[in-house]
Amino acid sequence: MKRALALLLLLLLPLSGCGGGDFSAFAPGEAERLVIYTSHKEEVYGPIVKEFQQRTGIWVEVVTGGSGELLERIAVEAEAPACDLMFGGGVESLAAYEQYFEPCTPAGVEYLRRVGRSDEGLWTPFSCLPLVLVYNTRLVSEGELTGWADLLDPRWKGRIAFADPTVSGSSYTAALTLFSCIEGDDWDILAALAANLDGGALSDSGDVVESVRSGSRYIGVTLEETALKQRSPEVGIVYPAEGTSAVPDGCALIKGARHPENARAFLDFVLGRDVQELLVSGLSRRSVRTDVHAPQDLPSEAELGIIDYDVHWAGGLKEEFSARWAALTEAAA
Amino acid sequence: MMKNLSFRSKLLLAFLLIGVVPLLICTLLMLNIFRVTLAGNARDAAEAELDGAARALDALLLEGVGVLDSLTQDPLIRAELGEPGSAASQSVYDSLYTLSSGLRGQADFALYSGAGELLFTTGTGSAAELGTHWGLLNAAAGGEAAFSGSEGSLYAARALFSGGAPIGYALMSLGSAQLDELFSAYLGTGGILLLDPFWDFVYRSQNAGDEGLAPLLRDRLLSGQDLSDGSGSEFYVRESAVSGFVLLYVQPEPVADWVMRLLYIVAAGTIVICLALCALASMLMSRQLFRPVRELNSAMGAVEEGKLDTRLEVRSTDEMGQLAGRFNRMAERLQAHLDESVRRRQELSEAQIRLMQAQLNPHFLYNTLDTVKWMGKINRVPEVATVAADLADILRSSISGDEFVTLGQELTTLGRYVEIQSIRFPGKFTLETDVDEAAADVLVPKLMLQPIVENSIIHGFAESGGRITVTARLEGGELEVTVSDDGCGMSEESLRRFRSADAGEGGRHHLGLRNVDAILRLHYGQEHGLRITSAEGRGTSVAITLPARFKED
Repeated sequence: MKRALALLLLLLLPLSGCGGGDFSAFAPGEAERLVIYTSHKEEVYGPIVKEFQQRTGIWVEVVTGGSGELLERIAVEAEAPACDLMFGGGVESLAAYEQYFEPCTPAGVEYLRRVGRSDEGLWTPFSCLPLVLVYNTRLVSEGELTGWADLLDPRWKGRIAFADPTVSGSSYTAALTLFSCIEGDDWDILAALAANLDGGALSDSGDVVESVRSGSRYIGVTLEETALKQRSPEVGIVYPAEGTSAVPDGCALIKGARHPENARAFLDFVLGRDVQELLVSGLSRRSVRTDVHAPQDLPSEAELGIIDYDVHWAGGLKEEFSARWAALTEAAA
Repeated sequence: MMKNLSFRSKLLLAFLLIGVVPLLICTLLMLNIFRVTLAGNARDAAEAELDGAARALDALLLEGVGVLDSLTQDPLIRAELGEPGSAASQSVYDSLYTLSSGLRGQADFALYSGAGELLFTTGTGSAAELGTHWGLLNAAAGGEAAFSGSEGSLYAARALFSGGAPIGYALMSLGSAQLDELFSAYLGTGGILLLDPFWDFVYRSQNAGDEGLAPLLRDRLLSGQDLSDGSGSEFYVRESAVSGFVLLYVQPEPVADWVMRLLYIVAAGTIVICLALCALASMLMSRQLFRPVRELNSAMGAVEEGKLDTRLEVRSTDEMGQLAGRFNRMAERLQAHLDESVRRRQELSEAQIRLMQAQLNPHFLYNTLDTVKWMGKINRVPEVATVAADLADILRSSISGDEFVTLGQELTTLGRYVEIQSIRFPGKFTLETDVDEAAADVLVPKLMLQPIVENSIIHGFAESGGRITVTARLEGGELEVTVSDDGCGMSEESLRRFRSADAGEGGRHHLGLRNVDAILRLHYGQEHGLRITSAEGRGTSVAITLPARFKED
């Protein structure tokens, strides 16, 4: 009786799962996998990942997100890392999470520039991102804007496109570069900058070039990459006379990664000439290799006068900076 | 549980069980068979389409690679690429078009220089420059035919080597439009998705989901999930043997949701109708059965309360009709029985009243008779004394509380009576008794014999004298008493009048006999009345038969 009932129930059950079958044969084995967390945009990591897969046969799983968010995730997952390699993120952010990284020495390390390198090899710079000044060519004549000192010049008061440094990493770097390039007490300089911005800091660093191009601001501070990508006749680029900082973004091997060999292979690949040349030719970035040069129409690395930027100093200053900036902007408001 | 339900509920349950359950099972089975069959057909169709698409792609790629091979081996092209400008561009184009003529329209072919610059092309969409350290040309520099896909197009490339270094590249490209045409015959009801060996998106046909589908499938593959999780579509995969690319057939759910919903609604509707019909039928049936039962029930209640004239209407000849008929007969019998017992009680009461009237003031009579006796003795008239003493004895016997006396006592009383009558009518008759000794102790109703003897004396010997004989026999537990005379007998008419139950005007003549008859019948039953045999001129015989009972001591 019971058996008959069970049979009947079996017949009545909505039958399902009669689909395409087993796909696991198509999935790669553990040795052919690599998981990277990246804060780069798809246009940057897409071709690199694709080429890497084709050359090595390793399947890359890409997880995208903001660099702060991804690093926090790495910290949370420290016991059992899901990620093998952090690809992207300014080296000063990577420095703050260096306890989660595995030291490594990529192939061809002798060709890498010293700037932004970790002494222990905990992270490796991937591309250089110098800060530049931009100006509206219709509102500002050539030669009027020369360097960092102009940001404190009352002539530009309220007309500077400068992203909120407590929000934007590049803007924070710009503020600290200002401290390094101009004589005087750091916090006096910050107060002068805040006063000259006249409470008009932009909330998003992506808006800087557009606000200068549209004429709502006269001059602005942004990354060379951003300025070159959004290049237009109305926007001129000035490399500051005092020199500039070029904090690289980097990549780092995660401690306890499940696919460390594949991660090293990826690291070697992105620091190799092919990818570094792609950075310059296709992505408006500067290479970290000494044997890959900027295009002819841009100043060479030597001409930029890149200042020494201590990422640990920048990291340590962050908290006080934020507090002071908040006080200054509240006073202005 | 079942026992507590009313008959109507049981009937309804039974109807539902019979009517709905098989229907429900049947419907569900049919729906599932329908679904499973359809899904099976869809799977077969999808596999067939996918096989066809994979074969077509491989055939095209194989032929394309063949064309690339022949391009790389063509002397004219080799010469031109090895030393640009060495051949007329028309003759290079001639070679290019001639060698690729087999695939005209299905694919475009192009020649690139060793530095990756576009030199000759049969199409319009080829990139003007390709990196030789990157991507397709870099891969082709390895020597084998290389494949690459992006933005809806599929490319194959082969390098021309001269002295170990590539001097140029031959490239085949399949644009979206060409892939559309290639796969158009194999779409069926679904769509085709072309992915590279790492499951990155290359091309999708119509009906192959949106652009988010390929990354989603790749994620599922890498995380080990089932590809078709929750999306409603089924997926079928083939690998292109030539290129290592992956073809996915995307099949939407074989039965559209709304069709299934409609089927379920129809099934539910059928079941609801069936439910309603079951309820209706069971209600009608139960009403038909239940009405007679209810009527019978209430009629029985009425009878219970004493309304014996309750009758049921017999409507049919089925079991319920028979039941009603039986009930009616039972009620009739009950009423007749009750009437009979009421009548009997009335008769008994009347007899008792008459008796009581007869014993009016007995002590006065008794004392008077005593006085008369003594006066008779004092005045030396012995007949008066005897008559008075006999009458007093009879009176005492008649007023005693006992209803029954022994036959012996009854005979003594009878003797007193006869003594009186002998004095009244001297020499007219004689009494003889012939009684068994055992019979003398049998109990009989008091004054049972006197009226019979009186009847003989008054009517039988009205004109002449005679002899009265009383016999009593005890046989087989029954007492048989016979009083017979040899008088003039009873006429036929008076006998008939006595025997008729009607105690009307004529009954007055034999009031004494009638009373005895009534008393006997009341005490011992209808069959124990007086049996009178008489013939005119030859005397009368009255017989009594009683069950013998004795005094309890």
